[in-house]
Amino acid sequence: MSEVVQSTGSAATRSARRTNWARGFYRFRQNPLSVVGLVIVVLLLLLALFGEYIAPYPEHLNGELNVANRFQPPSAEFWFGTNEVGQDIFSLVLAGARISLLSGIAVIVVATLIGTFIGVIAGYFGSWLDEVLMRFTDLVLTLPALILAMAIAAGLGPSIPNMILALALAWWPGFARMARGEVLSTKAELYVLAAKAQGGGNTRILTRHILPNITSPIIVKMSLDVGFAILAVASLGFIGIGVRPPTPEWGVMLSVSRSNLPHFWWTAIFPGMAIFLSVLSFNFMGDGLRDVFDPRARR
Amino acid sequence: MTILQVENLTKHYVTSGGYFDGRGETIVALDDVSFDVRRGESIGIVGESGSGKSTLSRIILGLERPDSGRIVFDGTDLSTLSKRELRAICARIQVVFQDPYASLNPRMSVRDLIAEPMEIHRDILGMSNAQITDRVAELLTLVRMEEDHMHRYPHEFSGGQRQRIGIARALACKPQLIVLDEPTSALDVSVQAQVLSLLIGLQDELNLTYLFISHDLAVVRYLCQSAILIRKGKLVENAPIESLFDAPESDYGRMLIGAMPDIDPDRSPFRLKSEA
Repeated sequence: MSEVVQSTGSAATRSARRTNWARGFYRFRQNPLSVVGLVIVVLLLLLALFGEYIAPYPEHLNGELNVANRFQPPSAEFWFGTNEVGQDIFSLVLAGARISLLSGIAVIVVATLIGTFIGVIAGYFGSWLDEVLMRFTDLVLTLPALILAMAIAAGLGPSIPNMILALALAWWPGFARMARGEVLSTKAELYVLAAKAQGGGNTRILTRHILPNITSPIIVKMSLDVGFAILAVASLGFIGIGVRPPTPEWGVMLSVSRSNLPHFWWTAIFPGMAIFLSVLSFNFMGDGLRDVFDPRARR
Repeated sequence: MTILQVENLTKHYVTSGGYFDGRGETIVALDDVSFDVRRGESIGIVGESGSGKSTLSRIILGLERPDSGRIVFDGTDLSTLSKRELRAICARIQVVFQDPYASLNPRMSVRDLIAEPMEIHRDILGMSNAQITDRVAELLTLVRMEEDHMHRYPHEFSGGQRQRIGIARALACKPQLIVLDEPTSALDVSVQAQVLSLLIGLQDELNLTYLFISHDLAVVRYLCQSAILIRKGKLVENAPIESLFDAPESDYGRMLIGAMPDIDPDRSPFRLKSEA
């Protein structure tokens, strides 16, 4: 606390916004695990964008085979070994970051937008609108998410955008329920009453008072869910909807390599580690973001 | 000169009934309450929990509509106004809430908190962002805080400082009437005194009218020129402060004043029977 106060000693000369950023980063740094998480997430995102350009065997990404080198264990030549058709697993894992991460993130972003919108409207305006929206949400929630996503994806046809949409349409109810609950407790806060007493309209109250105060649980849930969404993307790839081999994707690689276990462990371990690492790092980063976004949550 | 007239104000609440009988219970929050407030005066509204004093303040602030009766503010009947006109009146009637911890949005900097009423009423005030920031600095000085504080967040301040931020926010649009909803009851006694003397100083400086809602008679006596007593939604007494304390007319008034602890230990209601 005292450091925060001192660091803003010259606050009057700086812009308030820059001070907020500095303070936010200060809070984030307080937990080393958050920084580790952030670093790994940034690295993974860089891989997602540039992975295929730095892969040592780019030709393997386009489906080229090298059967003579199949099931090579990890070595200086093939860092993560090779798979059943002799492709370099390191190259595939690098390239796989794009589809796995970006679709996982896209699913959660779309689900958050839909869910938060519905939840906030239901919670803030209440009465019959709340009743209608939440009963519909409950209805979607009763359907098993993966089965629903399969049905939607099967109906839309197998492609990556359709898979993202299908998962998002199955994923939003959790966000809607959480957002509604948060809005219900936030709109009863005295500062919301104070804003109303000053003559503030619904738009101002929603954007200035309610949304900023419900972002932290949403962001925490988002960062947790990105990991599970990556798993869900992999699951859909496994059953042949969405991503298909030979497109490199961690989940697909993992499911294909099931039959290689336990002898050729490296074909499964490295894609699995990639999934593990991304889930973990998104979690750590989420914790750090919560510290930044919620000034009240002090350890 | 009268700034606020409350005439025959009545408000009922119906509790929601059970699923089967469907009938709710009717609660009378305010029953035919009338009183006047003169400009520049402080009037205390005293009553126990559930007496209707909070309902009264919510109706005056325009947060709720009365079932019957009217509120006349500075010559205009609030019930006849359109939503837009009512919003404009909001700038002239402001409020300071009891709990300085809950009444400030924790995500907003002090500058944004104090600027908010000016932003809401920008159409009336016509202020640019830079003018608003200057005014925030001026207001912070007015409530004896530092200009630097505007870049900080509420959780960095003590209860008394937060309450002063709340007061600065209430003053932002140069209101005429301020509803003080037990502004000191959540504070330490020493901080209470600071906030009260600040309020008195501001009243003289800015010619404000205070509607001081409290259950603390000692504070009402210190701050107000007259007081009304409310019990179970009914106005039981409306008198200048000295006559209320010297010779209360109602039984409720006598009871309240009789229950006040006295500085003189011999007259304290807490004295031991044997000492009497």
